[in-house]
Amino acid sequence: MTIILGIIIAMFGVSALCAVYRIVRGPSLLDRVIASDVLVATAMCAMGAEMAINRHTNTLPVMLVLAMFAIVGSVSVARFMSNQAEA
Amino acid sequence: MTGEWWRDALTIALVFAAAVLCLAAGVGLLRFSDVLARLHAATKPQVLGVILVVADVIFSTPTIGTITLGFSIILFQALTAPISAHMVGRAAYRTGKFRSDVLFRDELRGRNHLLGLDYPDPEDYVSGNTVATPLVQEAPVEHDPVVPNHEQTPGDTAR
Repeated sequence: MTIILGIIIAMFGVSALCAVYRIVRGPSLLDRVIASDVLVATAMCAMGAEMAINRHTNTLPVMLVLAMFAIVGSVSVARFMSNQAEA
Repeated sequence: MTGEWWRDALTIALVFAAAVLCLAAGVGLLRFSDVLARLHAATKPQVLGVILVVADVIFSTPTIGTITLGFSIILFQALTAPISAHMVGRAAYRTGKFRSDVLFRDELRGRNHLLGLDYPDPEDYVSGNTVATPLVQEAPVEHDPVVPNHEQTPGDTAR
């Protein structure tokens, strides 16, 4: 069981590191927006996995707030980058 | 943990599936070549991974508050993730940040002026114009009689 938990933690960590790499090295602004969305989704999945494994529900409101407000950044950036130069 | 063995097994299976989806999204972000292809990879854990994990939490502690919060999380995530993906994809198309030579068909090509938009075609942004031949041969846009105010209309009057 411990080995499977370690594999799961490693998969979440590798996904977050890939998203951070794409945020740093993304050729355009939209790549960084997509990578930040993936980072938020990975954080939500990791918090939910920790809750499910340890049998508590403490961070469930944090997941609700992230699900409600993760749209704001990506939509505002995508809305106002159409009339801008390369970034 | 420390429940019956089948509860632990179901928890581990759901969490492992969510972790596989997150890892696939990360690898897709690294490997794919395009904003639209990366968008295709990135939207998998935003809905399906969150649904798996929240179902796991609901199954672990099935109370009224947990079920309500979990369904609220799934509702808001499924409501907001397609909107943001749509906005990002539309901005990527309008600013020409995609590879038009790997698209099989592009139904918005040459039709931005029909929507009342002043965005030019994405081929105008791409240097080295190698567009694949479309699957359905349609009439060229500059000879389209529906659009009299197209920018290539002065070449059309000679016919």
